Amino acid sequence: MQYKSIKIGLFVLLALVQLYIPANMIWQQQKTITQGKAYRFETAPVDPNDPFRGKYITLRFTAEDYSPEDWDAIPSRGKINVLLGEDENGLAKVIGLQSSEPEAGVDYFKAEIGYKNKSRQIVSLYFPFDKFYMEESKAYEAELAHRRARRDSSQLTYALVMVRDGETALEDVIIDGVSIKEVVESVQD
Amino acid sequence: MANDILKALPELVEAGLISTQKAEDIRLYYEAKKQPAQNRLLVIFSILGAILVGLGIILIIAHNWDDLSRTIKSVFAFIPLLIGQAACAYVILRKPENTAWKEGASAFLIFGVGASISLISQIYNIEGDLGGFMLLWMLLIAPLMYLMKSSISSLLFLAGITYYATIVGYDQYPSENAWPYWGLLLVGLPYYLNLIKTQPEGNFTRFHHWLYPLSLTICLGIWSDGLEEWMLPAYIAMFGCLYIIGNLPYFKSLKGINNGYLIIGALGSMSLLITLSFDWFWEDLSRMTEGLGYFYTVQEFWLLAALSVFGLGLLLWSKRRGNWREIRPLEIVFLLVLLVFLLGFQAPLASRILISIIILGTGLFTILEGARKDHLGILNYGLLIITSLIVARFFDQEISFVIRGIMFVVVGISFFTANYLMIKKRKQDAV
Repeated sequence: MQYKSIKIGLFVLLALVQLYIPANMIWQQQKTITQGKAYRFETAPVDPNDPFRGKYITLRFTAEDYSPEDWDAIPSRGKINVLLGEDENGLAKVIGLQSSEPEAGVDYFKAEIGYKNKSRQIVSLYFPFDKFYMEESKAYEAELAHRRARRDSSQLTYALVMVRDGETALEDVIIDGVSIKEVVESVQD
Repeated sequence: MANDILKALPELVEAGLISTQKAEDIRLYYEAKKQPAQNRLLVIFSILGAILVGLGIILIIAHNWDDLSRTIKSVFAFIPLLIGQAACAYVILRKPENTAWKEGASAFLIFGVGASISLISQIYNIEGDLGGFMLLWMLLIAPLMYLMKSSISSLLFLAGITYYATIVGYDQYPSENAWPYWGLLLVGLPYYLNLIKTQPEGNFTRFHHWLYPLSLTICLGIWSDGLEEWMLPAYIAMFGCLYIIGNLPYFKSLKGINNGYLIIGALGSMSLLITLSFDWFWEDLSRMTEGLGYFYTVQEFWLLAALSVFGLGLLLWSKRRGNWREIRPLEIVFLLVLLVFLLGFQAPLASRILISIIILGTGLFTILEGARKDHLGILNYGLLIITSLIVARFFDQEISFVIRGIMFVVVGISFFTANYLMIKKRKQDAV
């Protein structure tokens, strides 16, 4: 009997952990969305298909190629803190990379270092918000719309990302001032 | 077969070969055996059902219903998880001994956990590399095999961590190390060992006998840090260990196809030995001599060393009763290869020839074993080893056509003669 109650106790514990993890994911994202600062990241195009998570469009960003002043000091692997600022057009730009924790008041997030190009003195980064999920029927159209917009240099395409305390939440992808969902719906209609 | 025997019973009784009582005993014996067979079907279908429903839910979720608000989608994300947990709680409280319920509910919960994490990632576009997702998923379901005493949980866990390791260790760029795989493997091990103790001949146990060595074979390469040359002898050492394990008394008592360790160990060792008998490997190796001075900085070296020491220990332990005469060539081949490999840095040609001699020796020993045990399967396996050696030499440019031709003819004749002699001997023995 005692064995059984220990087992029940452990199972309840496991069940709570299993519930806590997704709940905490929601909680963290909600905090970032409601309290974070909005940044607009200009996008560059690409696309695959993840078997577990339905359809999405894959995003690459122009800011992912960054040439730091201290190129040699940047490690060639692992994660690094990306410090954020804005350019004259109000688009997000990387203002620095550092391994240590940034000081308070600076917006940042962690990105994966992809590779370092010595001749161009560039560090290629992988930003963590590179997937934007769409309803299955819309993802393909969205990809096309995104690609078309990227070719048309008069249209500005960007991802709206909330940033807070090193956490990020990808809110929307905007093509020429309109949410990509609306762009796709207007094409489908 | 049981049915044939049951049908024959009246005839046997009538002929006076067995008593009516004996016939009844035999009938009851098979009757009792039939029961688990039906149970087994129920277990299979409950697991299949749970997995299909679980996968179905994941697919429906993957549609990513845009018309639903974020809140409603988030609530939905918890439904498969809660159903799975409720089913498992019911099993623990009410049906702790019912295998079909136990396995079905556990399988469902496993997919429920996966579905809910992936739905949340999708709703919030959360950074999610597949590797990180698999790791989190496997961590969250790891305790299930122990709490539910569920073998399907252990199997799915093993498959899941293997998949995780391949994504992180091989596919992903930049690749990360997949150390968590080895830790998780240890987490699952006690369940497996207990399964061997409590159900040595169970179906689930047999699946484990295949999945464990298979998972190791797939994942060992993660250790490679670019020096593939060191990985080949490391793999041979691992196959040697698997082979020794497959020759332990418990595994030896299993029917051939159930002994995954022996089969994977033997096939793996032989195919790598054949690979090593080609010149390109040794040429690459001899170019690496400058690295020999600081080999201890290479992580593959330590892997090779650890596996060789472990294999040697395992070998000594398995033969601790002095039963060295039962030793089979593949149980020590990895040690020979290790020596040949080290020699290869200085003398690539000698190493190559030694590898061919090792293969030849293994083949001959196997043929002799087959002859001694009067076992056509083992005999032909030995011949097959030698044939593969010769087929591999067929691609060697430096050996003349005539010699290659003669080798083929000789092996062809030995195939025929060996089989003919053994069958003839059997016939004579029968007379």
